[in-house]
Amino acid sequence: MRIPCPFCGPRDVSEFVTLGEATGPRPDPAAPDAAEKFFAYAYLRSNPAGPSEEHWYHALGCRSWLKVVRDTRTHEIESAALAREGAR
Amino acid sequence: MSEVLTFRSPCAGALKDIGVAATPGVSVRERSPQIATVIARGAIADFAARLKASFGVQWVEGSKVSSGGGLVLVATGPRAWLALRDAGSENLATSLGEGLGETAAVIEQSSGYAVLRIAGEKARATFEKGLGIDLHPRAFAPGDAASTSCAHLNVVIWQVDGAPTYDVAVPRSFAAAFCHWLMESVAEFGLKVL
Ligand SMILES: [Zn+2]
Repeated sequence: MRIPCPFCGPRDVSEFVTLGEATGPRPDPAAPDAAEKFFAYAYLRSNPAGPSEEHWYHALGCRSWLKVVRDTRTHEIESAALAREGAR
Repeated sequence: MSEVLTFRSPCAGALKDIGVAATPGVSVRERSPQIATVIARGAIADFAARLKASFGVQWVEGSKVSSGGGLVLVATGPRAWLALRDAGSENLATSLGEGLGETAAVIEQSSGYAVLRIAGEKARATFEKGLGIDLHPRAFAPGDAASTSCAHLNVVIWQVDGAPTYDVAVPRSFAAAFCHWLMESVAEFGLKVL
């Protein structure tokens, strides 16, 4: 499997670290429903059979976080973009 | 008790000539440039403008080398560079800090890397044994740079000319392991240590 890093070009998957599904930002720990939100944030995954939006870190390359759309059935990569344009 | 620290090459004793051929396939020379890490702050256009105004260097976007007047900036990330300049009277990190001002953070790295210049008609074939990137001239040409791994060692590599000549920066403590990989991989082609 190769991931087309928007900065480095296509690179072997061994250069990357996966964080898993690209869920939303970390919940606010001070919110009244923090326990519920953190349960969902930490444990609940949609685990689709098909395109899945994921965070990957290009550890052995440009050290950028990427948002990658990967088909979980075929490992086909639909797209890969910097998770936050211009951020490391 | 005070102790005087003397510079010692991170590749000391690790590189030796291989073969007796008059024209070895590969040559290697350890460079000793001043090195600094440069990270852009704020708008990249402001950084590029200061780089041009202070050093006459035209910034090239992407995983590329930007150079001019002896200063070389090798892109290592969307907003990060390894800057190199041959040792002179002026400290590189200091002059970059002054020249780039608020547009970048600059960190002295001169003792952090071993930098090797590896050239010759078999230089590409040698690197193909350790790198996972495509080095074919249509994919990687003079001015192109890559941060990647070579035989599981972090490296920053950029192509200097079509000989081909490559410069490779290896974190200092991994230099001996990189030289070991190089000696094994280059053996069939012959090596001249310059
Ligand atoms: Zn990358």
